[in-house]
Amino acid sequence: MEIPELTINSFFRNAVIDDFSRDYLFRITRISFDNGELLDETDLLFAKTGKLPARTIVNHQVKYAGQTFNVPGSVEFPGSESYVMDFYCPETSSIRERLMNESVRTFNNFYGIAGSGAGGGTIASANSTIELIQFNKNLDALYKYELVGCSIREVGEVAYNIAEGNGAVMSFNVGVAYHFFRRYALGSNLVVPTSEL
Amino acid sequence: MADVNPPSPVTHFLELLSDWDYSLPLTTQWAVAIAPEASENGDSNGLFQIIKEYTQIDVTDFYIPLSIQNKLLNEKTQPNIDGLGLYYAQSIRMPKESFTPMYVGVDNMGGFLKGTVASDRLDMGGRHFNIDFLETNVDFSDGLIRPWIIAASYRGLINTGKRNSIKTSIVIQEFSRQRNADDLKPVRKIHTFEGCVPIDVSERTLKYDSEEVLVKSVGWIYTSYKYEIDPNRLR
Repeated sequence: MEIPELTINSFFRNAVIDDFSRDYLFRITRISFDNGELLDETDLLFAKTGKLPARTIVNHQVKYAGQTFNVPGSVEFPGSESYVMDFYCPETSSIRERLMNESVRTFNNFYGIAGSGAGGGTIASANSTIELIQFNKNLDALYKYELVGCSIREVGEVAYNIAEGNGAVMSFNVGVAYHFFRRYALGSNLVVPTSEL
Repeated sequence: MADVNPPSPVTHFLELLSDWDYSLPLTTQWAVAIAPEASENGDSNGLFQIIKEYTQIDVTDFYIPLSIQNKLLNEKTQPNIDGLGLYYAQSIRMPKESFTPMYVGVDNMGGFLKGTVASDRLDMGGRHFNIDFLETNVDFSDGLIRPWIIAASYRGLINTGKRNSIKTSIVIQEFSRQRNADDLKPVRKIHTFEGCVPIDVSERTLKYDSEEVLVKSVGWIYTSYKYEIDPNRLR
C-alpha cells in the first residue's frame, strides 16, 4: 500500500498551492426577507463579521457487553436559533433602524400584531434567506451558503461612551434565526449533492 | 436519471407553515369578556342590583357599594373593541372534553374481550373552568366576584329569565398572526360559555417578606359552551 508523503516539505508545497482560508475571505451578500431585500449591497459593506454555520449529527450511545457504540441520529444546526452578525453602525443608523423595523414587523408589541409571510403564515418562510459566500484570495466565489427560513431575533445595543469616549466606531450585533441551510458550489471542484438542494 | 429522492419532509413542513391556515398561533394573544345576562346596553347595573339585593341579607351585611362595582366592570375595564378584553384577566384554564369508556361483557367470556361502550362525559359533569385575575386597588375579585358568589349562593341557579339572572356569558377570543394587510389581528377561535356563575375565589396571603403581583383564581360553573371559528376569517 502506498503511503502519502506526509512530510514538512509536502505540507509547504501544498500550502503554497492551496493557501489557507483567511478570516476576511467571507461576505454576507444578501439578506432577503419575504423576497424583499432587507439590506442592500451598500448596507452589507458594513457587515463586519459572520460565520459559516455548522451542521451536527446527533450522537446516540448504545452499550452492549461493555462496549459503547456511537450511532448517528438526526441533524441539528447549532446556533440556528440566533445566527449572529456584527455591523458597523453608520452615522445615520440606517442599517440598525431597518433591522429594527423588521423586528417590529415580526411582533408589534404596541398593537399585539404578529407579522406573517406572503402566504399569511410564518414570517420565517422559505423566501426569507441570508446568503453567505466564501471567496479565495482572487475574490472568486467558492461556496454559497443559504440560510433558509430566516426571522429576526435580536437587534443588539449600541454602546456609546459619552464621558470617556475617544471617537471609537460604533457597531452592533444582529441575531437571526433560521431553520436550516443549503450549500451551492460556485467555483469549486467539490460537488454539493443535488439531493440537498 | 430518475429522481430517487423521497419527498422532502422539510419542504412539506415549511410550505404548510407558510400558509396562514396551518401556521402556528401565538398563545398570548387572547381576550376575555364577561357579559352579564341581566345587563342592558353594555352596562352591568342589572347584575350589580341583584348582587346588592342578596348580599344585604347576609348575616355579616357584606356589601360593596354600587359605585365601586361600577368601576370594576365597565366600558373602561372591558372596552367593546376588537382585540381588547377584560383588563384584569391573566390566564384561563379551559375545560377539557372527554367521555368515560365502559367495558361490558358476560360471565365466563373465555378468551373473548368485553365490548366497549361510551359512558359519561366525566369532565363536563362539573362544567367548571378557572380564570385568574390581577389584583388592583379597587379589586375585581373581592369587589365583585366575592359578593357575586355570596349572592349566587342565596339566589340559587334557578332560571328566572334574563332580566333577573345572576348568570353571565363569558366570551373568549383567540387571535392569531396577521393574515394580510387588511387583517392584522384575526380572530381564530371564539369560545362562549353560557350561564356562568363564579363559585370560588382563591385565598391570598399577605406577608412582609417580598412584594409581588397578586393574581387570584376564580372558579366558574356554566351550563353550556360553544366553540366557533369565524367563517369570515377562516375558509
